Amino acid sequence: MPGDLKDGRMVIVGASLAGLRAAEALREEGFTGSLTVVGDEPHPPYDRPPLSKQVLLGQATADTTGLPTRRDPDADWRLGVRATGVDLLAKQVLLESGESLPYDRLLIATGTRARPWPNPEEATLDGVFTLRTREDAGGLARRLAAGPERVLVIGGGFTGSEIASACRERGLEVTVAERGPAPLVGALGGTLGKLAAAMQRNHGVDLRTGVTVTALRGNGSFTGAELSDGSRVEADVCVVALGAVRNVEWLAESGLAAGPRGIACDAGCRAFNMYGIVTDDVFVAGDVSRFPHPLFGYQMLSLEHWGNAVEQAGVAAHNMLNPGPLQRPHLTVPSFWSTQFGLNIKSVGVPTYSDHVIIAQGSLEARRLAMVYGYQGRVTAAVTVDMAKSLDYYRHLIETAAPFPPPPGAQDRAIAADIPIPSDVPDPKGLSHGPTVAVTGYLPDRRLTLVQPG
Amino acid sequence: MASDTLLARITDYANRPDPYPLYAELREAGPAVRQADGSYLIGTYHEIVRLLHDPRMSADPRSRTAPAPCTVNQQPPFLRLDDPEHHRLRNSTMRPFGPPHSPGRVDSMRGEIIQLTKELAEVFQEGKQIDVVDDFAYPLPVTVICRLLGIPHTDEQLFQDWTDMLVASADIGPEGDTAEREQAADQARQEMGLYLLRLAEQRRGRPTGDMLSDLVNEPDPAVRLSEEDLAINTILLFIAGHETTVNLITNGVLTLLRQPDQLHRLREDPGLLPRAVEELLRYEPPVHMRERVPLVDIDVAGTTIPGGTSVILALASGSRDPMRFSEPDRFDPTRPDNQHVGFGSGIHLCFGAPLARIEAEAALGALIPHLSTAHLVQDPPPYRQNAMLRGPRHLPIQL
Amino acid sequence: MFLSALACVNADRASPTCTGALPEDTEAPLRNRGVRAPESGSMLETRGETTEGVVGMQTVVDLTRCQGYAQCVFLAPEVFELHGEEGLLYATAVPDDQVERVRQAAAACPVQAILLGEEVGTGAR
Repeated sequence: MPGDLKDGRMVIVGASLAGLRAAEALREEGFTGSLTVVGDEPHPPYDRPPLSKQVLLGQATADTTGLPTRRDPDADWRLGVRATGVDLLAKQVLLESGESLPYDRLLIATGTRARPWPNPEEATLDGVFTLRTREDAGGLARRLAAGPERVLVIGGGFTGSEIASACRERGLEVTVAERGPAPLVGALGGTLGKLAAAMQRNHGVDLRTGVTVTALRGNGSFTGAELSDGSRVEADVCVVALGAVRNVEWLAESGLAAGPRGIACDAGCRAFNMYGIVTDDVFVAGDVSRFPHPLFGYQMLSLEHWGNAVEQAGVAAHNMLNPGPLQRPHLTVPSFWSTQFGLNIKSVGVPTYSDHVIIAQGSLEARRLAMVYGYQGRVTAAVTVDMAKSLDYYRHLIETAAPFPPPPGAQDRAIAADIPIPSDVPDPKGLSHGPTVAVTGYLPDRRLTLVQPG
Repeated sequence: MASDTLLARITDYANRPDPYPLYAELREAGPAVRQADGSYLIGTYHEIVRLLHDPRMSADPRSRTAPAPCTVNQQPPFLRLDDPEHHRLRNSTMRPFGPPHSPGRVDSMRGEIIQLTKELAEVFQEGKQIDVVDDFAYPLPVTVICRLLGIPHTDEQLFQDWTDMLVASADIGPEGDTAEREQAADQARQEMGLYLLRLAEQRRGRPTGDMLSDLVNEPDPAVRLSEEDLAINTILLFIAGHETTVNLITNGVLTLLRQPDQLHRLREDPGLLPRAVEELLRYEPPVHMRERVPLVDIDVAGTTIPGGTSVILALASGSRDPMRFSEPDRFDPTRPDNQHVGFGSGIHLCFGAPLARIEAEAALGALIPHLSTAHLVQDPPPYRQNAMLRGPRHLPIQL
Repeated sequence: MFLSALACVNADRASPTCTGALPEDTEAPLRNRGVRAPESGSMLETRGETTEGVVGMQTVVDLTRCQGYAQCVFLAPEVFELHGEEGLLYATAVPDDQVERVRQAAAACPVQAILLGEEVGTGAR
């Protein structure tokens, strides 16, 4: 690539949302060289959020969620091929076929996979699913369409809750088992966790909190599970929704700062090596990345957010084509959404990075509210339930590090808007589900074990 | 000239044909520009969008204490109410109109709207001089809104007179006798409300498939509108349902006749029409300004605006802000990233926007083939008095 | 005609990423190149098999940007659906007879969150 950053050989490992958007952005920004995209799934990039919604509801089949392109990235697609390593010195990506792909600049966007049920034998029982891929969703949707007696969902995070919601909408009996005190509590804290629990129960979910599933039973086919409280759930379908595992194993020998919480990179998406030295030809984007954010004390964030994958892919592509002074930082405020039990939940900022919350507008009773999260006297996050049009205002408060509680005077203001209550974010260790946004250095109230790279 | 006279100059009828240089002056003067009477004028895109989403900004005129306290006593329609009352009434009114309860209603009107535009376009014959407003842009949306609400075509003139009085009173600006205008508007509002209630009463238990029937026959008492709310808000729907669409269509014809290359482009590629309508909403929007009132002191880019003060958001200026749109004064139907504020934004985003879009697209689609040899008889055309709802009174063209 | 994108997914405020590239110039190369999964089906079951050699249109909504204005539901109610008061569900594979409506919805989206386009043409490899 001597001299000309717009030319040369680009390799993107990961052919999902971040990989696709980065490939498009490279071309949009004038890259004229060769572009190769490697993906271990056999499909062109497809969209995952509909898999737990439209697909499980039976409104779309799993193979129809292919992502539209903004433009043809004119890439060489290596699909169904696993990357097995990177040689940073020789600047080559190694493929399972034994082939190696030379690169001038590399983007890693390998994302995450579903955390499997820890007992491999039980996990292979017929009727036990995880939900991450097109095949997962297709199989689960077919099983739901066949009308099972009961579905057991292990884990009350966003994915688990959306699955339970889809089951109820299809009229299926469903049990949700969650180790923590409530669904969604790991991502949204105690108050909204209580709302989520009430919504599940009102919609007929058999919600079991404070329990773990100790064993899956069945002889070939799943027939039920045993819980830590001694009870047993008879069910014929089980969905393991225990969060995500980052796809970093292939980088174990690479010398990159890759660990269970992702691959560490700087604000410009440039990967760190295992000594904490930034590389200048390896970039990271999407769920597999871990990056510092100035709004959250420059701590490293790990996000599992659709919007982050899109934004970060754009920044990474820009920076792959531009010299240092023209590079851009990835500063987008984290945001995500979930639709479940007829409610639209949207979040900006990092709700777990908080000590107190207030209901700034609306009310729990109305099932329509804006909740603002604060940490040490400034606004760090906001979550709306069916009040998305207010979210931009609260995003602005986060971006400007506005004082918490936020200024008074909002219309539709809750009576208790002046009284902050503890945000009540539990230690993730005590949950079946994790937050989809995690501050991976420190949490405000406790020190976490630092994750060693490699 | 002093920036504290900007609102007076914008509302000055002499500037109706081209307020855009004044908007440029407004944006130059700063994000929040205090006017001589103590009110504030906002003309930059990002500040406008921010304030439209700020829950501390009230749409209710009764929140206003300065420059003059609001004199309106009766309850405003939901357009000028705050949450949660706004939310409740807008949702109830939305039930027979749009999603989630009636998602297909507007879409199902496409056929009859296209048919209407075809019929109206028949007068567009080579060699004739016609008035785009009277002959086309006005009758189309009025017919559509009458059918949608269930108002007999025969009573249209009655409604037009009431509408004129109500729209005049909703204007801002120093001209005319406000008290007299208010009184006439009150009278019109009462008569119109009574008429609509009588009509609704006839439909109670005997629904005729229109919105008035659906509203009065709503089975769920928790969301059914009271008689008062029904009258107030269907008046709003009737007026908002056509006044602005007349301007949108007329502005569209005017813009295309001023720019024959773009007219040609759209004739060659009708697939561009949806984006052309959006560009029109940015470039020559039917609604130029909206008023808001901060419920507490607020800060706008370093300027503190006291609670209770009238704040005028110049939407038409925001959509021409060069900090947001490249070459904002160019009409470009292929403009990417056209996130205009032609219909506002936030919780009060135009209720009838989809209907207006379909009408405008159908109207321009029907007219464009007839316009290739047409020219404006008068440019600029005579404008209506209203500065907020800006548009030509007549648009004579020679075919 | 433009067959690719109408809306830009990450056009955030004055973000420079979206002001440049017009989508029109990306039309031809995508045709006849796509590899579709063998199974077929859609939300509406009106689509069935795609026409020989022609790739169907796909849509995706950036629900991070979506604020629930529901303009798309009004304009293309067979593709977009409001789930509850503001949650949005949509048919990811757009039936051929709905493409024009989705195009209109994409143009009308107040937050420019709808992307309509073809699936990536991955060639045969």
